[in-house]
Amino acid sequence: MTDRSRIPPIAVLAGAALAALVVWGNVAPALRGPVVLAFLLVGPGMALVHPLRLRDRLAELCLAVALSIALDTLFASAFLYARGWSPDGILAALIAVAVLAAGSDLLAGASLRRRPEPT
Amino acid sequence: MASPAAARTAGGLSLEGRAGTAILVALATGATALWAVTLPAVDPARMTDLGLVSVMPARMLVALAVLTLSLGLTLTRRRVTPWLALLHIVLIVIVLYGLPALVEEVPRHRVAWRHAGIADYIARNGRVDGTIDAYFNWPGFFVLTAFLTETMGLRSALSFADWAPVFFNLLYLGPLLLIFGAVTRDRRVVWTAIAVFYLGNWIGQDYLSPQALTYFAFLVIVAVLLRWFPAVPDPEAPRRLRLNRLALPVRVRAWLGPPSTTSAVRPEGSSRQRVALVLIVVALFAATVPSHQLTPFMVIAGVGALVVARRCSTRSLPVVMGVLVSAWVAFMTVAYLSGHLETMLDEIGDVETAATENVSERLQGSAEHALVVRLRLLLTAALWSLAVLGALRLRRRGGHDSRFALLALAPFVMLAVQPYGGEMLLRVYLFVLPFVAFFLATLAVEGRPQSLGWRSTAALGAASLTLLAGFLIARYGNERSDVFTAAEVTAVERLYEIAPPGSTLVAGSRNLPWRAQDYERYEYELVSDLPSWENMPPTGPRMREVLSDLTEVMREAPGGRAYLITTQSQRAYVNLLGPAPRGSLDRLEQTVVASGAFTPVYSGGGARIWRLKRGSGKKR
Repeated sequence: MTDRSRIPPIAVLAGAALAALVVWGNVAPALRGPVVLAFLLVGPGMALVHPLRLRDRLAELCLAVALSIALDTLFASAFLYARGWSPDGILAALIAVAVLAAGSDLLAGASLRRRPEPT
Repeated sequence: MASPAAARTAGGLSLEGRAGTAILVALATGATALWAVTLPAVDPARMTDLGLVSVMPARMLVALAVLTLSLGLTLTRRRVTPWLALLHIVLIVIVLYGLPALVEEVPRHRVAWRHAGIADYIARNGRVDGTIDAYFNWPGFFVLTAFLTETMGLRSALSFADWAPVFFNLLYLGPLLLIFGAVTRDRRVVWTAIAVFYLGNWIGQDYLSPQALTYFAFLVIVAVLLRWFPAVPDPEAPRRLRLNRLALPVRVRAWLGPPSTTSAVRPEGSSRQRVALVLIVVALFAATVPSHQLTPFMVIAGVGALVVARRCSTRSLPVVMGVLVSAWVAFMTVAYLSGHLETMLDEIGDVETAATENVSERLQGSAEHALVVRLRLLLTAALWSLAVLGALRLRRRGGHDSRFALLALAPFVMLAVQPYGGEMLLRVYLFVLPFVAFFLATLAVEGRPQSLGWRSTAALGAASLTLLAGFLIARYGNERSDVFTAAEVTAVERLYEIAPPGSTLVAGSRNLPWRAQDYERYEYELVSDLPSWENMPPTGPRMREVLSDLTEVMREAPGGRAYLITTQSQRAYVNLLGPAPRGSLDRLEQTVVASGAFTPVYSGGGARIWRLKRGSGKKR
């Protein structure tokens, strides 16, 4: 994993932290809408799409946004039909998915870098 | 679009190189600035039945024309600069699709208000009730909207409804670039197709709605299949497909048949990537299924056409998609189907009803409205005809890739299946638009010489301005029936304060900003749905009969709690779209006042609210 390819998972982790801060920490209420929207539009999808290494930023971003919206819809619907409607719970679940996937992506990249070059 | 000749010199200045780039940036930003300063001069209250264009100042029209021509010049430079084309497209999306948000007082389009109300219901109750109406049987989009609204700390989805068209159209740009880029490396064709898409998307389905969001999923699914799962050469396919048995010309059979080894596109990506991409496509489709009734079927039609013609290597995908849709319809929409299945089955193959609802019934209303509808039909016919010419020209020039033709034809199957409340033709237009735009772009710029004569330059410039003019009238021609005022919203809010929950709320026509709150707590009725109004003679509704029906409906309301509301936008809606003659709703109001059976409880901003007096309208 190159330094540049570490940017998306790091951005996802930062976005997840910011979203958690503005929603549950009541930090910067004016920024709550834009921060939460940006994370939910890109974060969960990017965390899952970036490890595919598509080598095409536009395709990666499109798929990340589409998958994020799909996951947001599916998670929210699952909470609703399970009779457990809770926007906080849905957000927490999406943050968990994003953090796990982005964290694994970073760890996998780090282990690849540590692997000795074939001789 | 303008020509390379014009691109190279405009008034003696070269439009190539850095100087040309600077000139085009100045033209685009200057035109946008001029558009912005003319915004305060747009007064929607003075609008005629021709829509927003009737109140656009001349300077605004000049600004839009300059921006469009600047985009044309950008696309005809020797080498198309992507960021410059992107700048133009983003500005065009903002000025064309963001205009109502900047000149109108409150969010437009009654359905957007209703959608906000459904999201509000879900946020308040944490559940859906399929017996309320069809929306609750496909609630995915509303569940997402409720979740986003609450998590963003907003009071209502109406907070962002205004900007939905700009948001969705910018969202479409990415997958459109991928789709066009999957079949050509010619940047000029790609960006011209993008331009045609945005100048041709007058359908207006990009408001806060499930179809706007699921259309994005449709585009992404198509992009993935075109790029990562292209045709696989299969010499056995003609025999299996039995294409030879179909009465098709040899050339068409060859085009629709399996790809030869020379025309097949090499698939991209590793097997791991491709498995993951299939899973992503399935996830996108799975989120689409509970969100919208029509889009999943449009996706299946497109993917199915590609698979049947061996133009897509994920052959089991339509089956998986079919299972997902069937499961949802069978288990999750029982409440809706139990009351509508028979009607839906009757409508399959009823082309006459589809034609009547999709075309004939739309031609009623005011003379200006009929003109707008005719212009829409003309535009549609012109774009589709030119697209056919473009496809044939591409074929003659050696284009072997029939995938866009298949995707452009597939949605038409739905016309024979469902009239979709008279909207199927509009929806088909939207789903074929990307491919129509591509064929038009190839007709305009693909394989053209670098330097065109002045006649071709003038013709292409005129074509782009014609598209712009067509867009402004076709998209915003019905704006009088979509715009609301702050005073009307105040009247509706007052109605909810006055009427206790459980009351029946009656409006003259369906066009008012209601149902955005307390969705399930009221009964809603429309004068335009009353038998005496629906079965009116050609001269217009007989007001005594309408009054009789109206008082009966209101008298039968639980506890006699019923309220009638009339507003300016309801009158505009009836006057614009008919079928009642102009002024019918005003006559109804006069009849209501003269009857003495109603007590006025609110009046202001062109809106009035009445309550039925106790004992009034009783049958003797």
